[in-house]
Amino acid sequence: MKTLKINFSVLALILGLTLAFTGSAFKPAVVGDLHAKISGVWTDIPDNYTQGVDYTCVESGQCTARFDLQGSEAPSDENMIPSSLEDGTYQ
Amino acid sequence: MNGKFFQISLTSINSLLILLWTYAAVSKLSDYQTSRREMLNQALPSWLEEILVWGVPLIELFTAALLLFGKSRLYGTFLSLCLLISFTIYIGLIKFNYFDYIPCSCGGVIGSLSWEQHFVFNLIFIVLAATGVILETNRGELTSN
Repeated sequence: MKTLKINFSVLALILGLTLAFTGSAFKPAVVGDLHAKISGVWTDIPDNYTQGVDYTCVESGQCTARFDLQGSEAPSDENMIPSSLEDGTYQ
Repeated sequence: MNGKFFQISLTSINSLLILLWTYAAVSKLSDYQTSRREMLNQALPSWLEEILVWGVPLIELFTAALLLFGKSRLYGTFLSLCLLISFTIYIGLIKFNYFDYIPCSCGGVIGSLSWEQHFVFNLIFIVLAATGVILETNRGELTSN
């Protein structure tokens, strides 16, 4: 029984690791142009998602969002990718 | 208590807690930048948030490690209970508008859960961890009956 218990513990550990890694590996692809709300205006910011993000979102408000922009279209609530909105204040 | 039922209960609770803490810690560390932003968005003092960015996943991993070994299992189960109660108190404070604003619920164990869902999720695990502590501390008595 003792051996069985050790196996279950290790199994749970492996399952936890697997779920965490597969969860991050199967995240949906990043689409749209990244903008930050600076002084109430959606402003284009460098999209360095793959190299590591160098901004933070603190406290409340709208921080960053991605927009599906066609040509010279301005970012607005209509072309925002809803799931991309991050809460907070851009810093 | 039946010895086999006791062992199965304890093993199940222990395994679920290991799964919970490993998943919670590794998912934060594997996407560090996002989890850092989510932590800095929380309604806590900024100096504390900076500590918790690393502190939370490290203590979660430490708890999982304690749960892995027989000698430290009771401490791991007790630490699990303390952590879960702390997280649940934090959620309670948010829901009762103790803080100036309601932060995103993204920094929790499962990012997509709302605060209410997190609350229920934590309560279930508090019951499990409390049961684990009771079973572990009364191991001798329960298995001999």
